[in-house]
Amino acid sequence: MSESSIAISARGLRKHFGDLVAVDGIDLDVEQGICFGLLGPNGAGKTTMIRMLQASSPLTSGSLEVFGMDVEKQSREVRSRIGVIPQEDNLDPDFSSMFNLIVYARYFGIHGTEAKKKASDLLELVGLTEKANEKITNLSGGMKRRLIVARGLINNPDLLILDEPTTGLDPQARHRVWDQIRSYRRSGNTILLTTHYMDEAELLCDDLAIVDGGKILVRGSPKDLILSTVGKEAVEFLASYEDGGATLDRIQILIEDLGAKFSRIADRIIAYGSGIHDLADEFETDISIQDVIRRRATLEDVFLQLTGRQLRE
Amino acid sequence: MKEIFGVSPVMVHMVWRRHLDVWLRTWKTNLLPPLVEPMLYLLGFGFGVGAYINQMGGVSYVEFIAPSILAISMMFGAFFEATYSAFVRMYYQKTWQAIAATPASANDVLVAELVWATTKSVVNATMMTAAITFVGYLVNMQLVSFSGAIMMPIVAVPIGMMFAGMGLILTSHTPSIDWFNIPFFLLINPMFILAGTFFPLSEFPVVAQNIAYCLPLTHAALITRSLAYGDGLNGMFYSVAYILILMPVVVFVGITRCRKRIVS
Ligand SMILES: Nc1ncnc2c1ncn2[C@@H]1O[C@H](COP(=O)(O)OP(=O)(O)OP(=O)(O)O)[C@@H](O)[C@H]1O
Ligand SMILES: [Mg+2]
Repeated sequence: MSESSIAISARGLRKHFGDLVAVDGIDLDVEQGICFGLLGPNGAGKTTMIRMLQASSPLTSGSLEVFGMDVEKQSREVRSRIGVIPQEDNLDPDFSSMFNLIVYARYFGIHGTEAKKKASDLLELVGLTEKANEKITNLSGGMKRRLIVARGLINNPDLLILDEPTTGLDPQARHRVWDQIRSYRRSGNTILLTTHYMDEAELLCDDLAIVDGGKILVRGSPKDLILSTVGKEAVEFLASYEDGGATLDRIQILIEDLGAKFSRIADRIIAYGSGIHDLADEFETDISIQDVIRRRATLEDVFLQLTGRQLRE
Repeated sequence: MKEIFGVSPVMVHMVWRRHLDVWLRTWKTNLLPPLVEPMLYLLGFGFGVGAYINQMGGVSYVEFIAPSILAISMMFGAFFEATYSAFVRMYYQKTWQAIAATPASANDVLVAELVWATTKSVVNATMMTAAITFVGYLVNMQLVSFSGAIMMPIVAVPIGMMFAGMGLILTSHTPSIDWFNIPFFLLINPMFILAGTFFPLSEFPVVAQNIAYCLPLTHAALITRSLAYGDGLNGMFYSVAYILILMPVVVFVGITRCRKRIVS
């Protein structure tokens, strides 16, 4: 792989906030033209890494390059080629939807009729044409989110960075944003996506990394990660409200005896591998178990396996 | 992109235009309030209290406070913008952060804040000069000399920039918007009285005079007074020097500290 086909390259990337280590020595190469997912629990350091990419957060140490450019030394150039959809709403409440985009376009040197055309095209793309002249304060949460997505596309970025783009969207709007992400990728651009929705990551990402505590835990395609971490199958033991906990304790011991992988969260145990079928049969009729669900293993299982806090503590 | 000390004039202009666009959207409601309070001071104190005072500092009371009111409106124009308004943009609207994700940088954003606050100071100075001149015309008095009227918007630039820089320093420290009440009570309001604005400094005891000469508003008011009386900047060396030295210092400190609130 040649140097030039790398969109993002991090070496020994670290970020400390006082004593807190938000990013703890990350090495990462993201190829151009793919959708890369950055997953991890709250506080894992995802937004911090994105802020470092746009030079809003100075590196404590290490190096970070976008398209071969140093994010700190060539920050303006980097920012002119990326589009950022931030986690927080930071639209201009004094302006209409349309004017938000027009004002933002100016910072990228897009003016006049070109800006107007670009803005109305993008409004159409996110389905907000009817709200073009509406003030931001009169938009619903999901509409604001879609407008922020449109704003991030104003400069046709080569790298589109989306920090939880679909949080708070209704199912239709979410599919719409997914569609845009996919078509944007198809036209040869690179996408960096963070999300807490594992179905979203599984659907969109060609490659992803799960981070926790500022470190990369695993890296790979969703399919490979599922296979290598939890296998194909999963069984959920869902406890009923009373005395379910005690039964879950018993199931946990049996699973541990089998040597199978499992995650325990709140009211359920999820066990992996083909070895647990007998156990599933055994507890199917137990009254303190509300339900036994056999299903295909998903990325969510990988996530729980790797970042499950109850297990770790 | 052309840069001066890492600041891009083009980007500053774009951010400044954003602030102007917000202001233009609501200019009808924004234009009058900054005029009303100073006008009340002028009419209430100048003519009301002035009716009981023959002379103050060698002129009628209304002539005495007219230039003071110009200095105060320059101060407020910049100071409000760099404190309350800037804080709203930084903290509630996250405007600074949104812009810092574009080719504009945090420094561009902060310089644009200062330039915008200074613009408000110039706008206030211009409108107040016109309003005071008009009031003077009604009562057949020349409250601001012709040369002074021309110069007011010009001196509002360094004066406004100085108060904007001071405001930005406060904004870099404030934990919440209510906190600004403290400096307004402890700094701005006392300065109102102590800066030789409503009484001539010469009437003060020496200690108070020395304190007054440390205050930025004192020097702003000395300059606007000299201009209003048609004396230009004659004898204003120390006041001009005070402003031209303090201005870059507070601007530098304000930008450096505020930067830490967006770039961390
Ligand atoms: N400006 C800051 N000052 C101090 N600590 C910070 C700052 N920004 C982030 N942190 C800390 O760094 C850690 C990583 O935060 P970050 O926002 O990157 O997490 P995240 O992975 O985006 O989480 P989430 O999924 O909740 O958005 C957290 O512990 C957070 O408290
Ligand atoms: Mg985050």
